[in-house]
Amino acid sequence: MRLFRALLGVSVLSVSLLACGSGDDDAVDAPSTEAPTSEAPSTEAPSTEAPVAGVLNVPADYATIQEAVDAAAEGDLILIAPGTYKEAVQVTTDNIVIRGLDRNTVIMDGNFELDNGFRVVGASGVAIENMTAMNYTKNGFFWTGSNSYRGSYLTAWRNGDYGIYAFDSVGGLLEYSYAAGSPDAGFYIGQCFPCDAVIRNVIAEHNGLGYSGTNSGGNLVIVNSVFRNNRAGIVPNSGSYELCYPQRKTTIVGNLVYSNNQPDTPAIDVAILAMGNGILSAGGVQNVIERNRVWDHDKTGIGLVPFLEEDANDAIPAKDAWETDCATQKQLMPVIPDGPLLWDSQDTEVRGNVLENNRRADIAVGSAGSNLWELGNCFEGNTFTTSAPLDLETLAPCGSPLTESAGDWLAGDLAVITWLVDAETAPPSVDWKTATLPDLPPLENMPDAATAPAVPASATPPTIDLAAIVVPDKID
Amino acid sequence: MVRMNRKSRNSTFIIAAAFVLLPFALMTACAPDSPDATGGSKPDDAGSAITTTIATVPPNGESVTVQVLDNSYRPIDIEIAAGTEVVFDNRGRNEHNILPDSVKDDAGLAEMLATDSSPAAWGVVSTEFAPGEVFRHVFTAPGVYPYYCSIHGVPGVGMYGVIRVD
Ligand SMILES: [Cu+2]
Repeated sequence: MRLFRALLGVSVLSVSLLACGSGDDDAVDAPSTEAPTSEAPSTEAPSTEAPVAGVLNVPADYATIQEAVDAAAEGDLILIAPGTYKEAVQVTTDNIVIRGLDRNTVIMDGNFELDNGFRVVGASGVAIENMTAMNYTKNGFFWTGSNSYRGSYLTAWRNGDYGIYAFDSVGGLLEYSYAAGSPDAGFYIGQCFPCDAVIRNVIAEHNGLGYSGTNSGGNLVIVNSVFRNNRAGIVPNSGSYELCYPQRKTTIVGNLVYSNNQPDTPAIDVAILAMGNGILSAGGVQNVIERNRVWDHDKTGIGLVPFLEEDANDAIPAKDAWETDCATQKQLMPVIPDGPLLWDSQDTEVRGNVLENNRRADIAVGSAGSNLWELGNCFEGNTFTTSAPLDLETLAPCGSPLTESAGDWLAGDLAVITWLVDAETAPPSVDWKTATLPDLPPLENMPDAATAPAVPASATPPTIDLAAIVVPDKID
Repeated sequence: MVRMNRKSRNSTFIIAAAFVLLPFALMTACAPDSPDATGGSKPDDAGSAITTTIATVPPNGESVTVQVLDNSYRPIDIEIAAGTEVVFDNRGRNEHNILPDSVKDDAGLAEMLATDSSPAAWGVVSTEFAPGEVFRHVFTAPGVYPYYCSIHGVPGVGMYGVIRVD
């Protein structure tokens, strides 16, 4: 535990330094973009002979993005010309669309001083499209308290907390986006049930966690995405330090998850603990993990493990309360437990995944005292070589109740408690401001950004045809 | 999965809090005017003993706790008798702040605390309220004290709360 305290100290220290305005521009490599830099960019506006109703151009009509956002009415489209914008934009107007004309050259730059590229607070229907946010002390793109939200063709690069962050928000779509260099998660959806949200076609790399979702789920789908070279890949997790526990009902299908052992990323303590795992449920329940390709991890490819929470703030809800929606649960009175909580991963289905070269085990389930056959996690139809405990698909098949007599549940036990020891000697977090990141690749632009009509975020995310998704082929 | 244990830092925080809070307590004791930062009205049942919406509040009439989680205050809305201490306990994994609705950010609060000795001037900046830290404040003057965290909300939206002092 000493290490974690030390890490906390480091993180507090770095935040304090930031608060003092120490933006050390020379210490980091800028991405290879040629955008000009100015407070109010003097770049050319798109060729608009006559103003188009409902379209607010930055900087042609409004010198800053914030001015345009403040002037926008519901249904408006804000079009941002290429340039570097040193702004932290706050959005409180419903149903506006904010779009960059070029994802790779419309750059929000926090300069290690500003907090969020965009923060949408309590507004619904806000869609943000086709731009990059980097060097923010908190988040690249942040929605909170939204009843519908969408982020499309976004790049979040080297931000101090999360890349793309949706908290206490429902009705979401995050798609065709990229996040690298955050100590917490590249992509995060937390504190919602049901979330009614989709993450699709995203890439997360060199973050503490590729995806994290604390206490989120219920029609929450993560599909067709890439999680690589993070400390850990996809990590749904439970805890009473946020509301709406436990994490439940997240569906993870058709993703490429590989090489999440990256030692030189910024990382919160949990990311260090989770290091070396591809898809790791940390106290999540009722999740579905299906048809993903998962390879090259020091620990597990797919692991279902407990989250041990010290200083917990409420008791773990009984199973018959798991259907309670988030709004109702927020009204319940907490009962402070006497000791730490053990959030076991439960009732999760792991089917049809293809796994290789996950050094501790391709598929695994573990606890810290609970009987594994009583947790209800099942494994079926996976292509794998190793498991913990041994013969896991024989011990825990899907579709029938698990029994103690199915076999030896202790043989090859994951011994997850030893991960605490491993974390003591794991590579420590690297300052997010100076961590080495891969060169920012040119990333796919939104089609017809200059002319596509404004479509505010929908409270109903697209329906994903999960059955049509096959295990994706490897990529380099 | 295990989080860091923050418990052992409490004594340090209490000492730190004493440094921060003692001047507040002295100032507020000398300033009986009711704050009116937001124009909020007083609760109808003013004058009652401590009533709160949460069972975990100590019943001694002198101190109540507001849990500070990621990213909410719990309970959001409490009602206390004047003279009661409120203990804000950051039990989340992230830093937060506690700002009266009338100030915009940490810098605004710092300025307010340096220049305003009225009961309306209270709160804690994020750099002094990391995970595991507590912030204590005695509300000596009746009134309604709405507050929020500027990292995770705006007044009345996102991470916010209110203290009603009878
Ligand atoms: Cu906060």
